[in-house]
This record gives sequence, structure tokens and C-alpha cells, in this order.
Amino acid sequence: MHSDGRLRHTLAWTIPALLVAYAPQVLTKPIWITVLIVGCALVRWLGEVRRARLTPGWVRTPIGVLCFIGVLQTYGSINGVAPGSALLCVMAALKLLETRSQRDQFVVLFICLFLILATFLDEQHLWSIVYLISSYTLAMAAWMAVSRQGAPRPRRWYLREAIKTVSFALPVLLAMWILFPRVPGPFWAIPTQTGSANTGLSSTMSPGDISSLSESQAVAFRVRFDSFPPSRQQLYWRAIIMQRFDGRSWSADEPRFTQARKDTITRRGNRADYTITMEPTNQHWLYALDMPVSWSGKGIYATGGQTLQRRKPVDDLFEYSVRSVVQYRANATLPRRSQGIYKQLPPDSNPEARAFAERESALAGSPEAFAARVLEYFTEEPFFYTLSPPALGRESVDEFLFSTRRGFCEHYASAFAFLMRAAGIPARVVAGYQGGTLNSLSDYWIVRQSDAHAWTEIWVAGKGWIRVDPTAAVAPERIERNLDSALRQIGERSPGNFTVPLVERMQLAWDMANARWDEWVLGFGPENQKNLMERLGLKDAGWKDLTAIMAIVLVSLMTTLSLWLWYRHLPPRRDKAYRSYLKLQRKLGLPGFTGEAPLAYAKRAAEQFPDDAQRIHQITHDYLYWRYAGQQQRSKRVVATLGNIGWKLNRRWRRRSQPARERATTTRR
Amino acid sequence: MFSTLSRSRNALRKPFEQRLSRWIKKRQGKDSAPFTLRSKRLYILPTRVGITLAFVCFAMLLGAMNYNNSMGFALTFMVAATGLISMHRCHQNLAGITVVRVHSTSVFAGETAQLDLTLHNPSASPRFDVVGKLNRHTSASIDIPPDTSRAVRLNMPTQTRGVLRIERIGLQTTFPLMLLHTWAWLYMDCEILVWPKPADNAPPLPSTASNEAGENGTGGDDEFAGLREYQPGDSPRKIAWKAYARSDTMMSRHFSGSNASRAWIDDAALSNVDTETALGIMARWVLDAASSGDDYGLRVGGSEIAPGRGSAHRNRCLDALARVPTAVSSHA
Repeated sequence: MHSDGRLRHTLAWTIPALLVAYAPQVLTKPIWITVLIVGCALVRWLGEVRRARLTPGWVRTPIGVLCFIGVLQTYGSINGVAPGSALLCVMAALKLLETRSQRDQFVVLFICLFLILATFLDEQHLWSIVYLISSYTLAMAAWMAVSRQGAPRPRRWYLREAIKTVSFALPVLLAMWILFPRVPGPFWAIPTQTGSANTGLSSTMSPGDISSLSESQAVAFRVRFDSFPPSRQQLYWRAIIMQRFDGRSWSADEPRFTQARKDTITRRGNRADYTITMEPTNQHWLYALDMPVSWSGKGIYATGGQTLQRRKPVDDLFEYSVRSVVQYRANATLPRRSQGIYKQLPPDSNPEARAFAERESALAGSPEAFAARVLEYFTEEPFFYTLSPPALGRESVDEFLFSTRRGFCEHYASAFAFLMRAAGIPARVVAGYQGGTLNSLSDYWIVRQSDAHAWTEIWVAGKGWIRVDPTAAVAPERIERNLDSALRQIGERSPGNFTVPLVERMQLAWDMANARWDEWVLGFGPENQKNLMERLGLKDAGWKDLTAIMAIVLVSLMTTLSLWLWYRHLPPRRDKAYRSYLKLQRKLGLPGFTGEAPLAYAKRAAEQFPDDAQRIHQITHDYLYWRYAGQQQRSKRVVATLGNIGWKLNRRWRRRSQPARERATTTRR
Repeated sequence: MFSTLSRSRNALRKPFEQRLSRWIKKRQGKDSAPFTLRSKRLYILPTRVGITLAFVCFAMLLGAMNYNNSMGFALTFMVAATGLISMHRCHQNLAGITVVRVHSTSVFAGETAQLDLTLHNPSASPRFDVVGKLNRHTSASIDIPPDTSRAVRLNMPTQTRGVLRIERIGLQTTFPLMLLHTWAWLYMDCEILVWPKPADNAPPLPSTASNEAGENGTGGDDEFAGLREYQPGDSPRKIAWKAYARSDTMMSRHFSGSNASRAWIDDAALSNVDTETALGIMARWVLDAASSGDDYGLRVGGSEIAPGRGSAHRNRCLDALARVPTAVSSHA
């Protein structure tokens, strides 16, 4: 059935469909796979154009084996999404080499569909809707071309038919997407994505870690305040408590997955209610404003350090709501054992700093006075806030405090916490984010990786944990405005941040679109579905209700479609002149014969209805001049004369043979 | 091994198909052209590609649910929606087509008979990839533009002489995506006359010349003998056009030829051979007589065709040969 020319005609559809389906993976797949696919496509296409024979089996088989080994080598396994989709790409390329029949081409098109799915498992940005529609439309055009049995049609036709199909499909897709009962949770264990680099905080903090983050404009999370938002200086988003220090870096405890003893947090000022949509981190911790008191969301619990965590790592977009108190008193009493944990320091590390702490704390007297003294030290001495601090060695605190004096927030936090502990004051480093950008086009805040920050908390008997941000002493701009302005103040340019107003507005608009996308499309799950149903007035809709509603909606959509198709398949409308002539026949109740010319009919009709004979001849002549001589002005007289002819009531005939008569008269045209 | 398997599968399928066919025939009744294919006589089932796509769609749904992948859901539903839409379009592609007529040409046994099924698309939208089906043979696919008629040409190889009754004709389409297969069965009164295959080594045509002009004979060419009323089968060359113009009745010019020979092809002359062989020989005689240009008549199985000439006469003679009843009926 598929002759030579036809195969070329259809390959010209299937090959581009495959390449477009693969296109987004160029960035994520190893380069050799891209080379393989493009190469195979070229070889197949050129072979077809030159009518060469297919690549023989003894060439294809070794290539297949090599590719399999290549995938194994690249990914270390063939299980999981990434190696699976790599194998799929390899299969697609090799299948192309041996594609000959209609069936082969259907296989290639099925692979196309799976490739689109594999792309979505990788990434689902806002643009992926564009990719879905364009790639799917192309695949459908190819599908049409492969399915075509008759002589090939013009290329535009396939594309138009495919666009038609897809545009019919979109409302159906939307209905199914909203109403298809969503089931929570995976059915089988999803292999964790190892080796995928995630930007974001980590549970250890060495000098230089956060300053490297500040170069990333990636979104960490978005916040929508339900209450009046706190001032910028109060936006300390805590994520990780770091309490262990090894002389150089701070680290957090491993997550324990149990609700810690409820901390005593007393409200002393404003409350803030907000909802956070966080980007996946593959980590357990969540973000919360200082200090969270209550929250809603699945599997969330609080740790000993007033941070929130989730039992399941956040491997997907996650939304949760928190209530925090901005002015608070946390843990006014702390057991002696816990105090000990927050005072631990490795012995013999950073001796100079230790000596400084002992000397100054003795002078200051109270813990708060000592903290104030240290902050004063930071402002008085020539300390600099910079994104590119010099590298520090083993005794990082000593070097920073007494020689380099140039650092980013983690340097200050680390040094400050060290000095506090050395003076016997319980202290900890808190890693998280500070500030955020209000999207002026909407009402939410964007917190980016560049807002990553580290600060400290010291514990004072009777007053609980007090937040001290030593960075604020050195670069108050950082806290009051943002990193960008802080750096500009000291003559440094922040990386990749343009502040042209128009560009800024466009960035905000883009971010807003992304936020909506995340919220409404990617985050759409059982919860949102339930909420949506409730908003539509359907409480407690189970999967049965949803299925029933979906069935009803689908049936009505399909009915609309078939009505539309029926309408499109109605007989073509006759022109006005002809319709008026038919009306004459209808009024007289006298059908025309097949092949009977108008004048012959007029003669016959006039014999049968002598009273109207004159009018009948008049109409027939006018009709003929109107229709065939283009004398449009005759139309008026036709209509007028028609009005003077009374209905000859011959009901039986009119009811029965009207369609037959119309068919009969059709042939005359 | 494989062939045995498929054969046994066919053996299982055949009685079922026959029963189904009988049921459908009872349900629809006989068709007489012209008639329109209404929805209730269209059947629709997924094709192999369609079934595969359904499985693929299900696999994608599982994947999307497992990874809770929103765009995966979108793709899955897009595929499902495509299936639904293509179902409607496939059905609509055949619904409303009018079967105008079925026309067959007679052939000699062993040749391939052609059956033309004329379809009319009365709607404003074109129809694509409509295929006719006769037994196991499918026709080339045709497109029917809006408000136009096109014929589906079905080929039917013949083996034995006789009347080939066409039990039913299928009309099907897999447009637009080959996911579904819509078809209709047409039970029309339709027969193909299969002429006997002319014998290769036939004895020469027994020539029985006679001088008298047959009462119903069309006469020779030589001498004008008068006008008589036109009979179907008269050569157009003999029609008296001038007389027709005067009187509105068709007349044929009638000639009497003294040296025109009249041959009678008679099965009585071949009583010593069996029927089929005799018919083969007679077919050869008919052809020979037709090419010689003489008048000839046919007597077969008790009926008689008066002497005449021309292709219409020849075909009438051959048709009569084809219609001679046989001991074993040859059914399609």
C-alpha cells in the first residue's frame, strides 16, 4: 500500500514530528543522544530521497547494542525516568533507521507521544503548554499523513486537519483535566533523582556557600499574605537551624521526623497569616516567618529549633499555610542540657577569637551587652560586606575577625555565633531567606535564591531566643532594602540583575504568569480539585461524583461536536434565486420532474392552475433572467409575484415528497 | 504453524461472521438504490492502531498519576480527547452518503469483473478515504468532494460461468486517524453475469444459410426494404433519423440482403458434450459470428434469440449463455 513516493511523503511528516518532540531534551540529554537522533533522521531522509536501501541489520544491531551500553554508562542504570527517557530516544532514532511500512511509522509516532511525556516528567515550565500543543499538533498531522489511504494531499491540509482536531480536543481536555478524579500519592516508589544539582540552601554552611547562592535568580518560594504583611526588616524566613560547629562550617542535625516538644512561643505583637508555594528542593525543610505558631498542610511538623519540616522530601511544588507571630518570646526557659548543646565548640579552634570573647564578655557583663559590644566591633572596625570575600583557611573565624575582615552574611553569622558560644552564651546560626520582592502586578512576594541569608539567635534567660543579625550592623541596606542596593552602596554590582524599569516590569509579569501556572496547573491535585468543587457548590465530592460529572460534561461536549459536524454536513445552501423558484413549486404543491426545465415546468403548471398561469409565467421568466442573465433587479418582482400566489393546499404531497422533490430538482442545476 | 493457527482462527470466525451477517441483513432489510446511509446502519469499532493507542493512553495515565505530573495528565487527556473526536469524525465521514447505483460489466469466466458503486455526497463537507469492500477484496480509496458523485470500483475475480450474485457490499472508512473503523453493509440486488469462457479449440460454426428474411430479423444491409419500429439492439446507424425528426417515433431502416447469411447457434448441435463445454463452444461461435459481421441467432436451453448483429446483440447472446442454469450453482 505504501509505495516509494508515499513513504517519502509521510517520512517528511514523521521525522519532523519526532525531532520536535525530542527538541526540549537537547539540553538535558547527553550530547551523543542528540547527535544519534539527528544523524539517524538525516541518514533515513537522505536514503529515502536517493532511493537508497535501508541501513542493513548488521549495521543497526551493533549500533543498538552500543547505544544501550552508552545509556548504561551515562546513567549507571536503566531504571528511572532519566535513563528510561534516554532509552526511548535511542529507540526512536534506531526505529527511524528501519522505518519502511505504515506500521513502522505508527510505532515512531507512538514513541513521539512517549517522548512528550518524558519531557514533562523532566520539567513542566510555563512554556510546556506551548510545547504540548505544537508538538502534539505536528504529531497528529504526521498521523493524518500516515493514515491517509488515497493519493497524498497538500501539506497544508494535514496541518489544518490536525489543528482542527487539537482545537476540538482542547475543551475536552480541559473538562477531563478538571474533573478526572485525582488520586493522591504514587503507586510505586519513585526513584529519587540522584546527582541532580539543586540550587538552594543546604544543611551545612561553610564560608562562601551563601554568597554563591546569591548569584542565582531562581525562585525559592512565593508568599501570599492573608493578613497585613510585616515590614521588610521583619521578613526573616527561617529554614534550617545549625547548631553544630566543627571550627570551619556549621551544620544541622539530621531530620528526626517527629514533632518536637511544643515550644513555648508567646505572642507579643502582630500576627501574620500567609501561604507559601515552595519550589521543589528534595529536602525536608520548609520556610516559615519568625516564629511559626500554627500551620496546615500534610505531614508538616515543627523541630526543636522552631523550624518546619515535612516528612516527605519536597520533590514537587508544595503549598502550605502558616501563622507566625512577628514579635514573640520563644522558650523563656531552656533546660540545662539544651543550653549545653548550644554552647558546644570544638576545643582549641580559633584561639584568638576565643580569647577576644572571654576578654570582652568579662568587660560587658550581661549577654545582651556583650552582643551589642560585638556588633559595635563590627561597625567600628573596617569590616566590609562583599560578595567575593577572600578564601578562608581552617581557623576561619580567627582569619575573618582579625585579618581579612571582608565577608558575606555567613561569615558574620558564623563569627558572631562563635563569639557568643565562646563567651558561654547559647547561640545558633539560622539559615534561610531575608526579605523578598513584592510583585507589584499582583499581591504576592517572590523570594529568590539570592535572598538567601544567615543570621544568629542567642538565648537569654527570661527573654528566650533573640534574633541578632550581625550583617545588619555592617550593611543595614541588606536588610532594609535588598542585596542589590546593599552591594550598590559598596560599589559592587550584583550578578545578573538588571534594573531597567520596563525589563523589571516584564520580569514581574513573567513571574506572575509562572506563579499562576504553578498554583493552578502544576499544583492542581486532589486538594485543589476538592476546593474547586466546593466553590462550585459541591461539598464532599467523591470520585464517583466527579466521574459522573465528567461523564455528563463529556457527553454534552461530544453532543455539541456531533451537532456541529451534522451542521457542516448539511446539503449546501442553494442560491437565493433558485430557492425562490423552489418556493413557487412548493406553493403550487406541484413538484418538478427530474430534468424538467423551468419553462417546461411553467407550461405544465399553467395548465394545471389556469388562474395563476400569468403569474407562473411571469415568475419563471423573471427567475430565468435573474439567475442566468444576472438581472438582480428582477428578484424583487419574483418575490412580489410569489406573494400573490396562494398556497395550493395539497398537504399530503407536501409532507411526503418534499425531500424527494428537492433531490429531484437538484440534478437539474 | 502460524498458518494452521490462522486457519483454525478463521474456522472459528466463519460461522460467527455468517450468523452476524444474517442478523444484520434481517435488521436492515434489502436495499434498493438510491438510498442514504443513516446512522443506525453504520457500525464502528476501534482498529488495531486505535486499541494500541488506548493502551498507550492508559499507560500514560498511570505514569501521570504516579508522578502526579500535571502536564502528563494534560497529554493523556489530549490523547483521549483525540480518540473521542476521531470517533465522531469517522462516523460522520460515512453517514449521509447516498448510494446512487451499482453497475457491473459482464466478463468472461476467468477475467476480473468490475463493480462500480456510485456514491453521492450531498453535504457541504467533503468525505475522505471511503473504501468499498467485496468479500476479501477492498477497492482503492476515494474522496468525495461536496455535492458530488464518485464511484468506488470493486474488482471481483471470476472463475466459473454463471450468475454471480453479490450478497453484500461493504463500505468503510478509517478517516481521520485510522483509530476507528466505520462501516456499512449494503444488501443490494446485484448480479454479475459471467459469460462462459470461449473454447479455444471449437469446431467451426455450422453455417445454415437461409434466404427468407426472418419475421423478426433485422435484415441485411444490401437493399432498403422499408421502415419498421425501432427495437433495442438495432444499430444506431440504421435508425432513420430523418423520420424520427418528422414523427417523434424512432424507426429503423429495414434492409433485405439476398446474400446475407443467417447463422443459428444451437445447443442442439452440441448434445454430445456436457453443458459447460457446449457453452464454451457456443461462446466461441458467438464471438466468431460477431466478428464475421453476419447475422446470427441463438437457441439455448429452449429459449431463442432472433438473429441479429452488433455488440448489444452479442452481449445479449452471451448473457443468455451465462444464464443457463448449472448443476452446481456458483455463488459469490
